[in-house]
Amino acid sequence: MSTNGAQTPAAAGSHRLLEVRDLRTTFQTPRGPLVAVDGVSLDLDRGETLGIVGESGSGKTVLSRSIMGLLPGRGTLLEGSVRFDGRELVGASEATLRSMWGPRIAMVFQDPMTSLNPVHRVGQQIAETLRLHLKLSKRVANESAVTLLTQVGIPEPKIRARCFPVQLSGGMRQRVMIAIALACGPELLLADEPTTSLDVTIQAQILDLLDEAQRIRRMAMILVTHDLGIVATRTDRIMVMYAGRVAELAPTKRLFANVRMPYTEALLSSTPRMADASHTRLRAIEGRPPDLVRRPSGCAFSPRCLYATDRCHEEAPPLVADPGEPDHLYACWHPRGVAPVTLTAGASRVG
Amino acid sequence: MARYLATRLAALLGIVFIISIFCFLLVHMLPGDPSQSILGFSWTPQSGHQYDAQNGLTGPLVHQYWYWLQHVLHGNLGSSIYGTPVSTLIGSELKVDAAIILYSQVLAFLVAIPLAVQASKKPGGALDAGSSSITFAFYCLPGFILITWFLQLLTVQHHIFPGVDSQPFPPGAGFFTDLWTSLQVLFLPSFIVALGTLAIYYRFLRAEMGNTLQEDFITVARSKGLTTNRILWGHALRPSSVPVLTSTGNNVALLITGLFIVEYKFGLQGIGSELVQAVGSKDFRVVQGIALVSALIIVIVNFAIDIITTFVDPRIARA
Amino acid sequence: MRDEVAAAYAGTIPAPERAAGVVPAPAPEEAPKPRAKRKPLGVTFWVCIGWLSLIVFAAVFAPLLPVQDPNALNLFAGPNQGPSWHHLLGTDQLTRDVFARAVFGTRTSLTIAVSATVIGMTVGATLGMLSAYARGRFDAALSFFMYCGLAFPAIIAVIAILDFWGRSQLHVILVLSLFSVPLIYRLIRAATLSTATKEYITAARSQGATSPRVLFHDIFPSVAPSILVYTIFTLGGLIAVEGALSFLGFSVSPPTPSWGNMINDAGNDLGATLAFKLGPALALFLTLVALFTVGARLQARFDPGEARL
Repeated sequence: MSTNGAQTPAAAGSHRLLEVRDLRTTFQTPRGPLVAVDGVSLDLDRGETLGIVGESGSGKTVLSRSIMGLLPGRGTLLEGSVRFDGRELVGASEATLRSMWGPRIAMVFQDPMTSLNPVHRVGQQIAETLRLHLKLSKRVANESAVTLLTQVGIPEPKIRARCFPVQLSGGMRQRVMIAIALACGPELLLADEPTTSLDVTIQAQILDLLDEAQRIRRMAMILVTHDLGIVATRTDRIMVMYAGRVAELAPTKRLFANVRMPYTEALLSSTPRMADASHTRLRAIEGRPPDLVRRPSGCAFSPRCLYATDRCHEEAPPLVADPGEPDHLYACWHPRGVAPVTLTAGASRVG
Repeated sequence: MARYLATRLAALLGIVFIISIFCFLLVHMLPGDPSQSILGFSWTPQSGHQYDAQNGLTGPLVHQYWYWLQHVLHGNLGSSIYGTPVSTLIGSELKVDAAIILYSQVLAFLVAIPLAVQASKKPGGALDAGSSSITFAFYCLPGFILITWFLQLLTVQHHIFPGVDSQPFPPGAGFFTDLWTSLQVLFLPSFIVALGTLAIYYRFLRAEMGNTLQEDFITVARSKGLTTNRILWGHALRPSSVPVLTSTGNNVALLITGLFIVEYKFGLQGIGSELVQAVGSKDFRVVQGIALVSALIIVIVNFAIDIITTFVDPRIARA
Repeated sequence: MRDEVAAAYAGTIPAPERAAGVVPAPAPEEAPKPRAKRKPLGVTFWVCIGWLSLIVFAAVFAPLLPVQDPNALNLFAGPNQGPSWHHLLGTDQLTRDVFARAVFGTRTSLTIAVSATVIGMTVGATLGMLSAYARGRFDAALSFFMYCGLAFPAIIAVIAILDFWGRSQLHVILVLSLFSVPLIYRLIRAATLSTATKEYITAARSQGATSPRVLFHDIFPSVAPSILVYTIFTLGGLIAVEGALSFLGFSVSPPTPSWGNMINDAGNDLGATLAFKLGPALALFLTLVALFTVGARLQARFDPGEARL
């Protein structure tokens, strides 16, 4: 385990809200074991927002579900450690996890069209979790559900609560999803591509809603997305994932200012900008993400990297801290903007 | 939604109407004369004619049909050639069939639903594979084979159940006695019918549960911290129920007259047997009456199922 | 793909590395994705096909096979005898050879069921597809009549027609076909509807494809698997129905054997041997099992979404 001391310095003795160490998720597939998340570590404090960015197949969704423990049981292996408020979640019993899902950790899912049960009324779906975890009576739960609907910005909440999901638009359904997630006042919210399926015009509203909820409740939030534009303004730190591993991790402003990993650089440069002239060519990153069942040795990005060298193809670079900025981590033999590093595997881990 | 249901209802009534016409035509195509059946040896052309005239059996078919229809719309289904009013006849016999259908479907549901739900907990597990195989075997074993075997074994040789020709609804008994006797007498036939329908319901439900459990909203339900049983019964079952309900509608429709085999072998006097006898003796009124009533029941049952499915799955009428 | 990658970044890879051919093989993802492995049909499937072939063989070649005459009276052997070398399943109460009757019974039952299925399928499927494709008033009218057909108490017609026209194989076939048409129509129409409304059909039409062409070229291939599967299930159903009818004496008249009336005979006769009681019933059961297993496997193969988790 040569990589990944992706911790930021912790005050001695206290524990953070979320501490993930060397999390590894392996799926059994017909072709062999597939390592979707390969030794990821991260920390999160209350009230902090972490953005996780990556292409499809980078492992970001699997990561968020692994942290929560929401993976399908069969054929899945979860290794490593996830400590939530000091409590170990990996290997915890189903009952323990269930008692935490809702009141302490909650998730907002990607596709509002399929995430709501079509045969239950919307208010009922919110009230259900209130009655289960907060032990509210039916009447109080229903009233609280209406209140929550108001808080997420749904007009005529009393009427809407009696509606079925099929009667609501996509944006409204996503607001309902958020209401469900926030209902029991969780301390950690995992938002898995919450706006990907929505119109651009609605996206901003939903994101603002999440921001506000987080601010009011001092919730920690992990925002998973493939859209750099979203994380640029709404996160405290950003983690870039590639092929199941952490490629780069830094406070948001620093990431954009001092990009280190070529992958991140490529991502940034492929984002179209408002300021560009209208006929500017879109730049895409050539190639495709690697096959996670048969991982090539060496850096996973090397086949597509502009600056790849022999070493990159042979040896996977460890995740190290930037000498000048201790909270900026990356895994690259030839980081951008820094003098060529003469690192050997296992050196210079900040811990 | 009301409009949807109203148009359905109108269409269904139209169907009943058309069916009655076809039945009428069909039975009249057959050779033979009801007056011959009833008068037997004393039949002469004149007495035959007289009988016909008295019972609206003369004249062009259209007139005859109209005669019958008019009476029906006033609630009079006419009388059998043997004198009993058709409505009484049907009333008492329908009870037998209705009872068998009710008992068998309840039994089928009581077994199929919990079995399918439990089996979907562990797909491919012992319960799942076992249930699939066993129900499949039931499905492939046509009822009439079972009847022969069971009858021999359980009524003749061992007297566990009342034998053939027992009365499920002895005249003059109170409701609870009726219930008890009918349960005893009709258990075996209901059981046999249930076995076949059980297989269909299990198969449909299990397949649909399998599909539903892969939907996103089930993962969301898990993330709310709900227990597995709660998810299966409260969240997955309802969206999966529509195919089963539709097939229930079909089954009931088929069974109404299809119970004939069961009735015949168990010596029960139900609608099916009555129908066969009536066609044989050219008892037009009875045939028409039964055809009308059974078509009506089929249509009503299907309509009821339609309504129920819109409640079970709101997507159907509201989307 | 590999060449493109190399070409695009040729200018940036330092020359020595390039010359040494260091650019690694493209990850398998870059090659065209291999087809998802098809579920193998399995041993059970082929065993069932084997049994069905046997049955069909027996049915087709019955008169040529070295079995006894099914209607001959074997007075030497006597009634209700158990299995013996001469009479593999013994004799029935009229001293006829049970095995021979079973074999010939196969012939009767299968001829009726297969013919009825073929006719019912042809008519029902064609109407169903046309109806689903044409939509509009034609569809509405046809569906209405088919629904009438479904709700019609079939028993009446069966009895009436068979009594009226007499009982022969042909008549039974016609009656069975007649009543299977509405069911098949409904099923095929539903299957076609889900295809006909898909976008690619609209696309084909917008490119000027004429209706018959669209129907055969685009719709039929999607519906064909359903048709095959439903044919198999219908066949099974009709075998069972024919069995029931002949059980009650409503199919072919004696002495022609068919599975149904043999089962009835065995049930009625108190002295019937176990072989007689079980033989035809088992044949019927196994045939249905085989048929439905084949149908189910094919269905699972054609529609992986419905297969097991």
